[in-house]
Amino acid sequence: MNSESIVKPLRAFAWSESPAVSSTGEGRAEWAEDWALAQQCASGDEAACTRLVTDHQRMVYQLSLHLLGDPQEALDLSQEVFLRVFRTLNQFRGHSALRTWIYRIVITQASNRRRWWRRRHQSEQVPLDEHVSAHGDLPDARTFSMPDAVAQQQQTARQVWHALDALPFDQRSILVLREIDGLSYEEIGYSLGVAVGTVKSRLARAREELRDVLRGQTS
Amino acid sequence: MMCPDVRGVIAAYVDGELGGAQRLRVSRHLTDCAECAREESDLRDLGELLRGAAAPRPVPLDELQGLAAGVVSRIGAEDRQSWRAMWERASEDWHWVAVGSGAFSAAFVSVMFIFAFLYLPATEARQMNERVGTLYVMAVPEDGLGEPQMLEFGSALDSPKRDHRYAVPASFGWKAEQLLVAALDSALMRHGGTTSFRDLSAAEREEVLGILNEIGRLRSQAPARRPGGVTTVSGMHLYISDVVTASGL
Repeated sequence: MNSESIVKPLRAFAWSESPAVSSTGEGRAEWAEDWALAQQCASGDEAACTRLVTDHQRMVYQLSLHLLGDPQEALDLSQEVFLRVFRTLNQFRGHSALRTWIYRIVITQASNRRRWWRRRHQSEQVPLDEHVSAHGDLPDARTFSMPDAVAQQQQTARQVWHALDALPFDQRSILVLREIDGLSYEEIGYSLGVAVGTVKSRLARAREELRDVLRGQTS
Repeated sequence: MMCPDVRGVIAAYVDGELGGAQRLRVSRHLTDCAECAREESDLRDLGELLRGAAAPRPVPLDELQGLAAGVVSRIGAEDRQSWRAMWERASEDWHWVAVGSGAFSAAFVSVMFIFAFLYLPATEARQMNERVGTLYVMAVPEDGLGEPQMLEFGSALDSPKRDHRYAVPASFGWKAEQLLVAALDSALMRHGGTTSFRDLSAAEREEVLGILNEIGRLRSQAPARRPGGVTTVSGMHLYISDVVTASGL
């Protein structure tokens, strides 16, 4: 297996291309490193492939978990994402950080998986109001971050994730990318395949929607 | 900055997406405007709320440790499978390639057979004609008034449709026949003696037969005179392939 190419080779012209230039020296260094790693993976370097997975698996899993909400689903999605990464590695042009490129794949795969899951389990879904009535009222959002109430914090976390579940996937994903993963508007735009202006407006709507849902839970 | 201006960019301010000067202006406004400051605080709290909700979720390190090996192994298997599938597809395709090649070969052999049947006899005849020599007759009008003419007898053998009277005009009369007989004798001469007709090559036989046919044709016609005098054949050469050369007069 060592001598075999485990991923399809990058296109010939891609090898001679330099990665796109980032606006910062740090970005240039990171992108060049990503480019080199992608080249090694494409040439069949098994160790490089393993390194690519181990370097990004935590990020991929956590993003998958935040997008889907279920640990097992997140694990399955993580595997799908890395398989997708290696199958499409020849499309990586170095025009972004490898991390951002993988983000995009996670978002796409998660969206597909969520859409499929919703079609399959639509009849089993429980409206949020019913869930709240069954599990009790939510505490005030302003009191969620009290440091001395671990149990309360966990309860709050569950309520927040339920609130996120109530949002459309595009709003949930943009909130996760911005607030939890801390991506810039430009990186979010690349990950979602939209312009920065769309990121701003969609993020504003998502925040407003989440606040409305949280207010609805506490009222 | 006024409140509406700040509200339009306050999210970008919280997200760290504003440039230095604009960020400074918003910051100054927030120190003076409690309502905008509350909006900023709400946005920050919302972010903290989300990050706080995400924090307690543990990462299954044991399962993630096997992720890389599983993915790399599966990609390798897919790659090998893709090669095997490619080979199987190629093998399946070879079946049709073999069938196609057989059909093409059969068609090719058939075409070649038809070609040989139709073309080769014509080629042999053409080659025979090409090997056949040409009989040139230099004829001069007997009254000496006309220009000498070169008459080509060989052309009579090139095409059976050719009019022999063109080759030997009637005005040459019996003298032409005599010359033909002389040419025939010469054509049959080998090393000072007359050779057997069977020893001649096919081309030579054709030439000789041509001469004989020409003599027969001339004998079947009544001799004619060219207006203005009698033509005398002044010379004749017979060339049969590259070996036999006959000459007369």
